[in-house]
Amino acid sequence: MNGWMGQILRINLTEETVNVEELDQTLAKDYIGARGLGTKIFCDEVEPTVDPLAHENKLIFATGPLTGTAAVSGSRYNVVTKSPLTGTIAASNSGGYFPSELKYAGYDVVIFEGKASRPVYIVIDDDQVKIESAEELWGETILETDNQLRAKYGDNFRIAAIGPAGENLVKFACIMNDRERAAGRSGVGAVMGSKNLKAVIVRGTQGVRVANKGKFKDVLRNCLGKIKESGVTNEGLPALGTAVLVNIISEHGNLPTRNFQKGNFEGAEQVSGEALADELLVKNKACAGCPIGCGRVSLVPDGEYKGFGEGPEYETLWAFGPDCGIDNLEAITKANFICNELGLDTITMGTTIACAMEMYEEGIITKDELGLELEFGNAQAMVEAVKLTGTREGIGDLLAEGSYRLAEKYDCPEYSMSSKKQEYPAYDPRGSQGMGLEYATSNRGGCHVRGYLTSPEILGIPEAIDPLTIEGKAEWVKIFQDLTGVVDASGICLFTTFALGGGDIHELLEAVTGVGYTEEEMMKVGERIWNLERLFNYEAGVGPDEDKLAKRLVEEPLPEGPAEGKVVGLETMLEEYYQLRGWTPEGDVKEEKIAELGI
Amino acid sequence: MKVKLLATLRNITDCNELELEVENIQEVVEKLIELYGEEMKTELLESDQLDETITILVNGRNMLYLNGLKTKLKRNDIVTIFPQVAGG
Amino acid sequence: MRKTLLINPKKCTGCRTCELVCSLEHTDEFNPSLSRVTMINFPEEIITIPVTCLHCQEPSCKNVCPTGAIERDKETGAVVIVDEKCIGCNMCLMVCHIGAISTVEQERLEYNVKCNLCDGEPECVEFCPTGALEFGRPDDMLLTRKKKVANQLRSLIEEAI
Repeated sequence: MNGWMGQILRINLTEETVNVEELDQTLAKDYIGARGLGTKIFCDEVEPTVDPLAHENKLIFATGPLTGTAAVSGSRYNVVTKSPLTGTIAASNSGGYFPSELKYAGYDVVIFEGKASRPVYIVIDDDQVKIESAEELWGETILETDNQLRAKYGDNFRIAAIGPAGENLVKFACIMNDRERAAGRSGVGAVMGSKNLKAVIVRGTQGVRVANKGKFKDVLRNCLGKIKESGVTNEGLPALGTAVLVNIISEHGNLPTRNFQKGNFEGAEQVSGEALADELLVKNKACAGCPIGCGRVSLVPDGEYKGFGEGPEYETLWAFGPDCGIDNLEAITKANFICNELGLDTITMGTTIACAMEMYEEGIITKDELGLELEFGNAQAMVEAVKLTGTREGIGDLLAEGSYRLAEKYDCPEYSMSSKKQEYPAYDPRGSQGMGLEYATSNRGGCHVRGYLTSPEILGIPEAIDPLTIEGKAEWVKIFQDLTGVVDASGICLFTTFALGGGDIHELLEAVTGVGYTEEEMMKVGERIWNLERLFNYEAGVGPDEDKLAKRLVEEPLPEGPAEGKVVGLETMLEEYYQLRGWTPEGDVKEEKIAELGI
Repeated sequence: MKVKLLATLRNITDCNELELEVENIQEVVEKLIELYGEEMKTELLESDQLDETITILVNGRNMLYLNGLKTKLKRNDIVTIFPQVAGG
Repeated sequence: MRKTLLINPKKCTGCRTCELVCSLEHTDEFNPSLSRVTMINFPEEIITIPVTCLHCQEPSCKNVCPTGAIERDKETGAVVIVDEKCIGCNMCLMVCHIGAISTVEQERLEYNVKCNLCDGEPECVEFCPTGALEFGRPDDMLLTRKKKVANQLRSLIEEAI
């Protein structure tokens, strides 16, 4: 096969057995890879009603046909499992070097099933696969785990691991690879922890074959040209990282502040990409094959927040910054570093603290219960809360459940800014209506990387549409969701779509795989993935009733700024959206749709 | 009115914001080019028209949904200008 | 003047595109383990640097080769292995100070392999997105560097006066 390696590695942790299976070529074509193929295999093998932390749940690492190639930013894999945070399907995406190495070792997909009787790690060295005891690594941070494994096996191995948060089953623990890249959302790290699986290390010496080398180079040159021409991928992202958005979203009155109580933050400038570049940025860091290099390397040279590492990204800056009412860049950066070490999703961590802060200020939760003066703007308490969560100490034990369960425990779930129990990222949908529809319909709950409507609504890419209206948004959301599915399944980074369109991605896929997709067929894969995820969620008990937003976003108007007086017009958009998706007016997937897509 | 410059535009101005007294957006653009010369012109204009990749907000609202370059400005208005950027 | 390959470590973002396009060019597949250029990673300091053959003036690999399989290409100045003469003895690999020569395990036409500057148009340079790898006349490339330093000096002097 070209693009795909043609093999699936199955590791049963209960039995401690390892099997290699052949990849079904039709399945590969129909679901491409990564988020698509991983989800298909998962849905075929796992009961939707499974307890996410039980040994019957499976954990799938899936790469795409472009992973490990020079196709712009072809560095991604998806971790697919059932999420302990949302109870829905989880597909968590990460780049770095580890995903490509899985391919070089000969595997498109690795399936972990069962549960090890003791802490273990897996060594994948081409076709030699071993299960080793991780007793000595258990409890170690991500960086320490990485250090020890590299000391033992050498720098040619790429490592994915969980930190204390995953071991302690924190519901939003992530799986970190190459030290500081995260399969961040939906608690995939807790599933890994529940299996007693501390780390996976991999080295490969095989090649990813390409169907048409000459065509590939032509297509690549063309794509790189577009990336160079785009101010976004050639100037903005390299110079200021994703954090370039802080000021811009705040100016639009869209930057959720103090747990979404308002949409612009008075301290935005202090925590902006511009400030980060001036004050803490050391250099840029890229994932494999990426010409953009949005990653930041930052240094806080001294003081109580001293530290060095990757980050912070826009979402992280916002979650620990404006959403918690904090304008201390060093404290935010420190919170980011701690999350990287413990293995915590920064978005859910920051927003859960913001939720606790509002509950504290409203007198719903007391200082005695918290053990911290957790008022908005208290940077020290915020950093302390992050530390406690990773180890589930004190109030950390409750924060580790995420904002929804925290607020629900105090009978005020409306304080949790989440859909399907997963917290929203850094865009207030009252000032970006299409994003509201995206949050409500996302198959993994509150999330910006399933259909990034901020792109046309705020950033004018590929064209500007009015953020405050609801007309036509359903169609945009559908197209973006389907295209994102294709991008995720291919193994390239979503950021390429700021410069590239569906046609470019189709050409890359074709040059590498040569399987003869039409562009329409390729987009159909995106729709297939979307419907399959939705069907799984339905069977798991998370049905159309959950296509909703936090009460605040549909009932409390934004108090100021350009979207003053606005709430999200969800109902109308949802109706149109269901229709466009070919579902029933109640939001159920019809049999005809299932047959049409061949699910 | 206050004019805020974001992202890489700051490389040209070396300041984050400035005060201008003009009638409309068109004049803001002209004034900025007058103040910062060729470099600003290259950034803002594409064959003498405002470059489509430049976004201009008036009090947080994209001028596209107001009156475009003719959007009238009042003394207390805040104008925000930035080149095409993205993140996520 | 002959063109030469320059490495600018500070510009490297660690994307490994050099390894990917190198292996594609020479082995028709994406396979960093067969690449003639290697991105060396210092994970703790978060520093990455591409390392490849520097085409030494006094190549120890050429001197040690028992079959005379290593030559300098007259056109490009590259130190190259002539596959027909190479017997795969690994002597070159043992003496290279840079570690730029590798050995191929798979059944192929070559045994020992190294950078040949892609016959004067190195793929790694063409596709490097940041200019961490450069290929050109050394006098031109160094003039650019000197100018940069000169500019810094100039502004320092201007500030002082």
